[in-house]
Amino acid sequence: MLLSLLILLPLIAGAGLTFIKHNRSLGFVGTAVSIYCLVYTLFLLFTNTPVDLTVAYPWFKLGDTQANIALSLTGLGAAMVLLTTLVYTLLFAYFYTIKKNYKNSFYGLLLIAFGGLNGVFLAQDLVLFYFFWEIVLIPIYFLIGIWGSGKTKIAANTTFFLYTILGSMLMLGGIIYIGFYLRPTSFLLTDVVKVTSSFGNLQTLAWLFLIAFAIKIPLFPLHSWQPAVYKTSSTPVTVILSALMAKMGLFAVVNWLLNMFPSICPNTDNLLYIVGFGLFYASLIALTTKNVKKIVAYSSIAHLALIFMSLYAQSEMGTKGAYFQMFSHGIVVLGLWLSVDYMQRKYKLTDIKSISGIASIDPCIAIFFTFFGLANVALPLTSSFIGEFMMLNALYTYNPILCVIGCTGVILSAAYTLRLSTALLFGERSGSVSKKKQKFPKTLYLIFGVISVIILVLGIYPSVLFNLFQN
Amino acid sequence: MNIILTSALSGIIFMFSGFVLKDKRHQSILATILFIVMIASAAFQLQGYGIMLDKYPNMIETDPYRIAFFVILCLVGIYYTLVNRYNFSKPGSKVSDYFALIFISFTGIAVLASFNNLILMFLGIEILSIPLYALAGSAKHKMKSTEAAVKYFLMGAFSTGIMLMGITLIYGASGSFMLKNITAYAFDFQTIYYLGWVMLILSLCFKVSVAPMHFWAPDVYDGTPTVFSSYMITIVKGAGFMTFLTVLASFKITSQIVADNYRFLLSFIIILTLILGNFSALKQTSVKRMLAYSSVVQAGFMMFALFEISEESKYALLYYTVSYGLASVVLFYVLTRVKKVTYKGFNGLSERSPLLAFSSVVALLSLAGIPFTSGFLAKFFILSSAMKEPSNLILVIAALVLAVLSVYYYIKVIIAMYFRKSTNKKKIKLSFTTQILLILGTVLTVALGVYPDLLKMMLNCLNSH
Repeated sequence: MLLSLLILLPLIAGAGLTFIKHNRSLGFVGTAVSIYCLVYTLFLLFTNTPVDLTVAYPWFKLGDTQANIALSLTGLGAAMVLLTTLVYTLLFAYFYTIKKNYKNSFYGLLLIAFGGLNGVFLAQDLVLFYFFWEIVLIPIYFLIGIWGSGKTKIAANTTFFLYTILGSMLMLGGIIYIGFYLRPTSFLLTDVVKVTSSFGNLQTLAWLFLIAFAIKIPLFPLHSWQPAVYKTSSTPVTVILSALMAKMGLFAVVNWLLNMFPSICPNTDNLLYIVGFGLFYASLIALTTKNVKKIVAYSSIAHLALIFMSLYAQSEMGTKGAYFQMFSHGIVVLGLWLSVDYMQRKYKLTDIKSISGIASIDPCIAIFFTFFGLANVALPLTSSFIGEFMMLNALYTYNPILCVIGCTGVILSAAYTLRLSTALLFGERSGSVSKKKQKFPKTLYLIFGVISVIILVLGIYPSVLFNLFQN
Repeated sequence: MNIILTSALSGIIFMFSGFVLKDKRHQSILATILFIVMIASAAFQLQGYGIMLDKYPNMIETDPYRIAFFVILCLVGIYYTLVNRYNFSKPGSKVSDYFALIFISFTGIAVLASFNNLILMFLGIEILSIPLYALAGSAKHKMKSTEAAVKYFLMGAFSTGIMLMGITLIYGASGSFMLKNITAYAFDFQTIYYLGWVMLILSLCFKVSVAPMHFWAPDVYDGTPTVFSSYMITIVKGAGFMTFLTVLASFKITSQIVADNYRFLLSFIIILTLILGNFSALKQTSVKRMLAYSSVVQAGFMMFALFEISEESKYALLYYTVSYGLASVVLFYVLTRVKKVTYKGFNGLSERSPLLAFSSVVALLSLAGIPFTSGFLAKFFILSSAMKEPSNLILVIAALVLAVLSVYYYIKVIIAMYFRKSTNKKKIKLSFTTQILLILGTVLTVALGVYPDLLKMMLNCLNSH
């Protein structure tokens, strides 16, 4: 019951905001719910509460296989829930500050996605996991469709929806195969692992799951929905997509794919080469593309590909680094998107040539943006450094070629991030950047400050997070 | 016998109700009451209080599963009648006649829920179909409606011929019409026997509108007045599948060759249905016609229940019928409330009537098979009941991948309703009862999607002594 609160509270509050008509803007409900969830998660994680953090109730039975409502707040899942609540709190706080009044249903849909995300990270039952995996998609679909911008909005949104549904359908096929041919006693992770490990040849099955997860992350050949969607959707949605939904895919790889099918195909290296190529390719596009949102989107593809590669590097260091980076990337990307959003609102930023010289009139955002950019490049003392260093280290011992690809990605990431910040922050003032000094809202100091502090603390004292994984 | 008697009596009552009940809404209330009487009679029959059951042991039997199916169809019927209560007068003024036809076709369903003999099955299917031909043509002044009626009747007669031929061949080979006796056949008549079965299967395919016998369906569902196509698509289709399952359950798979051929035939039918239905639905500009094709696709999914007939697949079929029935009734109701049944007619519906738009979103997601709606679990159950052999995985995956196409044309409606603006800003007014009913349908769809044992609990109530 304790854990289902993390799912039910946002779901119910979200449904309430979406469907009940109110003339007043009720965005603060979202802020309140997310702060509550954050505090609650912290409470569950850091006080040694004498409650068992795993629950399982029978749900429904089909044939011989029992589906359960099973939730667990452990290991990587716990870290991801913490990330979700943190990102949501900061996100809502940011939008509360800049006072952009969206309709109540906007906040409501965001909260429904919140509940779904928590569900994905908590679920320990395959069917329940699938439920949450899909439910996240629906609010996001409406958020992009109604509040997105640009002519290609509907097309991009449809592509996104169909792509993800295709993945989900393949996964559903896999679930049906597991449940009704392999016949475990229940759909609980532990029971499923028992049957999949005793059956030898299940590679087709592993691919069904891998494709579903790869679409969500997104990995190289299946990524084509992503840049268009990031470009057209409004910033809160982009934050959710890149900071949290991409993590859903990676988390699913860790929690389900790696547990059920330790090896996907006889030669995993070939798969990793493809992913590595995607990393390189996305970095190159980020280096040449002009739209700021697209640059961040492609940079995201590159970073996530590196995480995926090191998950398969078969070393504890690689796995730990990947976990760490999953958390860290969520925070860094949140900072990047929020500062891009701020500049977009204030200076009508669209592509890299549209404005320049912000640093001279609004130094605060320049500092923060540079800081987040450097964190994205994985500068030492920032959290990304720890993660990327461990991952590259593990990749080197596993397969030096992959490590070289990864390092190239890091170098290219420095190149495109610096290109971006140089173009926007320095040089002659142009675009809608006027001569007058701009005031930076006080509460934004707090929000951007909190994000920066988290990045720094994790960069200097990473054991906080490592302890959490070991729980 | 109870259910046959009560539903036939209800039909007769409605023939004369027009003289007494002048207000058209009262007809719907009467219909609801009669549906409840039918459910009660079914419950009595299950409890062992059947009338004249022992008089015709070679003709009818009390099969708990089919009685439950009948009750479910009655419940969907109640929902259908209440939601559409103002729509029955749209095709013409003879509301009581329409209800009489509907209840007579329900007599057919009652016969189909009790037969244990091929002759009676034939009779049931005819009693079910003939009123539908009349209903299809009920909008007399409209060419499309007349066309639908003629087409339906001609194609129906054609398939009836095939069915009779099939029954004859089976009778010739096995020497019996009884379901329990047609499993065995004289060895010399093997070819005739299996030919008979193939013909029977094909003619039943016609009744449930799956390929290759589906060509009538889009035209008929499109041409028939919306309120009646809603009935045909949900309840009649459900009854058709109930019959199909009962008949095929008495087809004994004796050897590997028979099993292979049976599976091949069904996989062929399923895949062909899904491909033809989905690709035709993609191109439609009218939502009603899209839903007609989508009903062909859904029938393709329901065919999975026949793949490996077991208790699970029977339950899955029941579940699918409920879920599909709920979603379709809601969607067809929405169709009657928009001026034009094209995608353009749905533009901006979310602003004109948030409730209509929202309940159709849930219904569409349910048809598309998205979790948290009953449609997902229906697909899940029905596909998993077919998953007995590892080789079936390919079929399941193919069906699921084709289902992605169906998601595309379903979300096109959502896109129109939510993401496009309409020139017509006029609000659509819904009466209080209609609002309650739409919310009820939505809540039921979600509740069944989250807690599927709800249906099992309900059926247990019916069966318990």
